[in-house]
Amino acid sequence: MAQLSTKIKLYLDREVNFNKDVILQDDMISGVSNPYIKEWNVEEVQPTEEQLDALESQAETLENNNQVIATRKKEYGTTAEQLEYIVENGVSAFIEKQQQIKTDNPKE
Amino acid sequence: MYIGRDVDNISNVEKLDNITFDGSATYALEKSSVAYTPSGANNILISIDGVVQMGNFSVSTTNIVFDWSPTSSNTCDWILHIGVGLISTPADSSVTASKLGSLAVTGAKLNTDVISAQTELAVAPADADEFMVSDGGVLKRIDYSLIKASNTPAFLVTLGSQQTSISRSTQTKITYASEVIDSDNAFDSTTNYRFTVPAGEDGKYMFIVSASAEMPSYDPQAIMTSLYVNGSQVAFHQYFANEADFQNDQPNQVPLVTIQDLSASDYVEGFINFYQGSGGTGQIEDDNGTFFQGFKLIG
Repeated sequence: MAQLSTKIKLYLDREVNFNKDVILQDDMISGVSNPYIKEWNVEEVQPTEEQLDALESQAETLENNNQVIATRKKEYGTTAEQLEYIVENGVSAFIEKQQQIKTDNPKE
Repeated sequence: MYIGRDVDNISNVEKLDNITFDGSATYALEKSSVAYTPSGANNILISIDGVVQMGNFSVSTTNIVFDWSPTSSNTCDWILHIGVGLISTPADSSVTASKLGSLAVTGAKLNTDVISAQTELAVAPADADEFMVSDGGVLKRIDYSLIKASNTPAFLVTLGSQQTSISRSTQTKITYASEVIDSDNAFDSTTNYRFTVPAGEDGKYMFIVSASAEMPSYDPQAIMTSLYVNGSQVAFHQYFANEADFQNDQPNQVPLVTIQDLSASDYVEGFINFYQGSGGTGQIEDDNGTFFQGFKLIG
């Protein structure tokens, strides 16, 4: 299930400051997660549950792709590791390695 | 008619030798032919020719000095010296409490040995041991348990098990479910995971919220721990992540330390926020880096 923050970003179609514009909270009562909108401080009308539910599929795709991107970044390594790879193996080998990572981790 | 011993036998009233006047103004005072020093002119009663004298003489060391000069035709009937008063020494253990006036025993009348002469209590007092206190000017007794230095209420709780699937960009309560210390049974570790200030325990409290937090993805912008009082954030600590954190799959400890002035029934909770991030959910490890503790400050 897609996260509430992702659906809100899709609903507003822009980046959101979740420390100021929209505050989400999860009280974890008896250990059960149930995130909700605690504060809605932007001009746009606060979405209904139905409007957010309608964005579920789109949000899941976005999150999956973001996860793919995150996985790729992890496999790319840190900037220092990438530079070291280039120095040791050359640019061509580096590009080939990076391309393989992208191939192995395709977006939806 | 007075029946009893002679006045000159009453303690502190003394009969002096009569004076033989010779026309002088000054005469020596003696008792049994021994020079006598009066306390003052007002302590002397003297009768001359049957008249008690008043205001017409003074005293100087062992002499009486008249304002006039009695002659040999004047007769000194008697001279009495009145001391500071009759002294009656009460018998041992005969002075009862009712004989003392209210507030008559002042601090100046107390010897320090009311403390120093007592048996030393060489260990910490028992809770029911009592002290004396002036409560708005009224003396009262108070149990040691009410004034002894104590940092309670106090609590220390841990996670108990890993907290997973924490939504990104969401203030999520940390489910501290394992109590290590809960001095006043004031921490709810099953439903709301919160500390509630017990009745009568208003005061300043120190809290430490710590979470061993793992990133939900490669690039969360920050991890924030917060302290909430009565449902509102009152303090936070934010850690901006770097790529090495994610590459190494290492949790980050994000401790928050704060002091809050609380009243009875106020409740306090720890929250975490994996801010932004592009994928996945966050989690908190159940290790020694995850805990929530608090205690009331003395004073």
